[in-house]
Formats: sequence, C-alpha cells, structure tokens
Amino acid sequence: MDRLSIKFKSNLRAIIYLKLLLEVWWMDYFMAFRETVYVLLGLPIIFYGVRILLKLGNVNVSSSRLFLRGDRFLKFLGDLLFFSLSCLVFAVLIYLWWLTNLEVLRISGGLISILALTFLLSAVINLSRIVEA
Amino acid sequence: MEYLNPVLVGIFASLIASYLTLRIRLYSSQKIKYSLARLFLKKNETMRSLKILISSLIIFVSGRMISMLILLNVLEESAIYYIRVPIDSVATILLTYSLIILYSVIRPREVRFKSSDAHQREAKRQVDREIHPFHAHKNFFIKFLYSPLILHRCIFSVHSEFLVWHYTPSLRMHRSFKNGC
Repeated sequence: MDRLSIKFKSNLRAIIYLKLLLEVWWMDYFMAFRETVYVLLGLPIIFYGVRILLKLGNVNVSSSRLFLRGDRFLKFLGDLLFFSLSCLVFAVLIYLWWLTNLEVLRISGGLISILALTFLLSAVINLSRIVEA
Repeated sequence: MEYLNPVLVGIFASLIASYLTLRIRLYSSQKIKYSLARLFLKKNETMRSLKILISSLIIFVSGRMISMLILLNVLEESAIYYIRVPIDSVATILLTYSLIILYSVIRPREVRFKSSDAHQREAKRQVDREIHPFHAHKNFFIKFLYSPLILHRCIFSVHSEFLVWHYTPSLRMHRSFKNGC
C-alpha cells in the first residue's frame, strides 16, 4: 500500500511537472509564433505603406484613381473597419486577462491581434492597388 | 482601483476608431457615388487624411517590431514603457485624427437652396411631410427598424411606378419642387 501510494504520488508529481513544463513551453512557443507572425505581416505593411505614401504625393492623379476605383476603396474601408473592430476585441480581451490572469484570454487575444494585422495588410494592399497605375 | 489600468485607454481609443470607421463605411456604402464625389472634390483633405492614416499604420507596425526586439533581448523590457507606449499613443492619435478628417469629408451635408429662408422652410416642410419616415430619419438604427416594413411593401406592392416614386427620394423631391415650388 505504501509502495502504491508512493508510486501514485510520484506519478502525480510527474504529471504536474509535465503540465507546468507544457504550459511554459506553450506560452513561449505562442509568444514566439505571435511575434514571428507580427514580423511577417508587419514588413509587407511597412513596404506597401511607404509605396502608398510615395504615390499619394501627386494629389490630382491619386484622387482621380480613388474616384474611379470606388469599389476597391469600399473594400479598403471594410478591411479598416474589421481591423478596428478586431483591435477593440483584442483590447477588451487583454483587459480581461489583466483582471483574471487567465491564459485562454491572452492566447485568444494574441490570435485576434494576428487577425487584425491580416485585415490591416489587406487594407493596405487594397489602397496600394487603388493608387497604383 | 484594480479595474483602472492603462489597457482601458486602448479600449476607449479602439472604440472611437471603430465608431468612426463604422460611420465612414456606412456613409460610403449607402451613397457610393456621393461619397466618392466628395472625396474627389475635397482631394487635399482626402490625401492628407490618407497620408496620416498610412503613417499611423506604419508607426503602429513599428511598435510591434519593437516588441519583437524586446522578446529577442535586443532591447530591455523597460523599453515597453519609454518606446512602445509612446509609439502606440502617437499611432492612436494619428489614426483617430485621420479618421475624423475622412469622416468630415464623407459625411452627407444638408442641401441648401439658393432661395429665401421662408421658401426653403416651406419646401423642407413639404418634403418632410410627403417623404416616408425611412428617408426622413437619418439615424441608422431607425432605418434598421423600418427595413422590415419596407421589405413588406416591396413584396406586396404591385404598382411599379409607386415603387420607383417611393424609393427614389431625389426624384420625388424633384417632382414636389416642380409642382409645388
């Protein structure tokens, strides 16, 4: 009986250690994944953003293209709307995580922030296509 | 007091940005040609707002890059407070400012006639009396409430001219002015 209880306790301890280790790994892996995706999405956003800024220098041509490519401008506005809504949800989740310290909230907030950056990239690509020749 | 923390600023900023983008999207989707014409006519303001918008987005993404550098231990963790928080604040302010400019450009204006005030009041009264409340009210939620009624009328009305007359306020306004004023 004693031997069994010792075995059970050691197994339980091993499971708890494993769980803690997995939680730490998961946290680190998720953080690394999130930041990698930020970089992967952020670099094209900066690239397209600089291109748009260069193209917007000619006001007459850019405004004419904006007027003529109205459907794409609506897509740009829609992506911007989804980006801001995702940012709102992300901020609320981070606030709740701050209060409750639940890891689920942090991870779902990170995923939604990735979604927000995807919408932002889509918006920037749409605007880039509008102002391009 | 534990409920008060800096993340609340982010929530309020996102709320303002979401509200402005929602209004801009609604206005531009309801009157596409009108909003595009306004964007074209007020080209300087439009281009200024787009430039500020893109700059704010680039600054926002730069903030995320700073987080990556912090994670890689290139920058120390206190950089969050003296680099990333100011960057995020500047990005938020610029984004809100650009959306306000874009909103002021796209927002529909009251039609002003070149006539005396009494004449205009009479015309407006006539239009308000005749036009269906769906067209008279500008509030989106009121429109949303009236939409089932309009759908019902669309389905059960057989008089096509009535439908055209009913759902084209500009034509109707033109007719009422032609007849009455």
